[in-house]
Amino acid sequence: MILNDTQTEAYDKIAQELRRGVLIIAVLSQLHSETHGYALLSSLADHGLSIDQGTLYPLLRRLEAQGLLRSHWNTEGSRPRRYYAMTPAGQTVLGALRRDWQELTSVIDKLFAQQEDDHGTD
Amino acid sequence: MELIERYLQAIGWELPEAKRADIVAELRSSLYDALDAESDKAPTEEQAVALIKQMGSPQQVAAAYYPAGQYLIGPALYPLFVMVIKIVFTVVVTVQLVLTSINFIWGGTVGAALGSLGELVGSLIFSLGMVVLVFWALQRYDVRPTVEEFDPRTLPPLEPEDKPIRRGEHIFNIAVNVVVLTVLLHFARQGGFPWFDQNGLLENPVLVAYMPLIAIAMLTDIVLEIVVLGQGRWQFFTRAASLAVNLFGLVVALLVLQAHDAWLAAQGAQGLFESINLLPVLFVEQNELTGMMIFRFIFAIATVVAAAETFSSALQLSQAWSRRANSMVQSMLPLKLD
Repeated sequence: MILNDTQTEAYDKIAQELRRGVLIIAVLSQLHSETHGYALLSSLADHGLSIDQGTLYPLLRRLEAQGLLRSHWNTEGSRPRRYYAMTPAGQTVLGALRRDWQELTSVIDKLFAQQEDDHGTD
Repeated sequence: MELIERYLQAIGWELPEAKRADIVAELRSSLYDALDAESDKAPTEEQAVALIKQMGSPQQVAAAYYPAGQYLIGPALYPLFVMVIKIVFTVVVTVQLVLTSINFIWGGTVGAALGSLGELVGSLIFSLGMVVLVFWALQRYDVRPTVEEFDPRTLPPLEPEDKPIRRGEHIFNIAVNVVVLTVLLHFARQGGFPWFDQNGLLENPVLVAYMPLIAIAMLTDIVLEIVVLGQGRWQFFTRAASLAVNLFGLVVALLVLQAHDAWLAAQGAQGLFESINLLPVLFVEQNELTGMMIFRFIFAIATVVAAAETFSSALQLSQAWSRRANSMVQSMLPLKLD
């Protein structure tokens, strides 16, 4: 499907908003144990979700400011790294987000399925 | 790697002071981790360029750290807004101080000079309001700085002033300022300076009249020195503040010098340059006239020193400014409607 300029602009904005919410769930899901930023990037990329550093680190800080993550510097490795992990509050919120996500995907799947059926019967 | 450090420096310039060191340290470790992951060998400049391009311009990276929510001025415009505010404030303070000193030297009164400095606060608030209004309009109509192709090789070189300051120098300056200010305030409270051997005090009406301005000039200098000492490095903002403080000190020194000159002229004394040959005898002939002439010499020297310091801080600020402007121009101009 080829989009024209106006469609591309609209798509970019919607896709960006959609991705923003999904990224938070993806990041939280990987932080049950302590992980540094670059390892988190690699882990998400290995699962097929690429995110750039300029997006990830500000996001981590916002989640920490909301009390969902905690972090500390570890200077024992080859270079100092900041490690992040979920707080109990983060785990609770992730649990709720996971339920929301499952409900949403289920609903959206049904909507798309209905649309396909409708088109099929036209 | 120098290119990575230049990139981190440019990002640091755009970040809030309180979080700068921590954010830059985290980005540093992540960038070097990413380079290490690409190959076992030492990273090449091409690899660093590709990594930096992928991450985005320093302004883009820094903007993502500004708080989310409903913006009066959003993250895309915020770094440019901060830069414009700094430039406007520097220009307003400089122009106001220069105008105040010119007005005073050409016959103004102390009250008018103080009133003019008071107007400075109003001018700053007005200019802040105007800049906010312009950026609010840009935000409202979704005008964004268009990000041109960002070339990491054009990042400004590492700033020498990013090196730690010489703490001893700043502590010495603070100590000298505190001692001189304490001495001046002490004698001003006593009503004069012990000058005549047994004949009481030399009253200096000019110094007494200008003591509030002198005290403000010295106190602002002390506060700035303490701030720089606390930060451990010169920043763009403290460079700008240093220029403003030095300019203010220069204006005060000029005012006091001019007032001594006027007082002495009223007594029929010679002008500053004509009286230089009298210098050796001034300390011998201890009377009010010679005392005031010595004070005039002291403030003439203070004016020259203040002028040199103002010139030096203007030079340092213009260098820092041109480095920042280069960085901004590379990545944020031209502005155009989306």
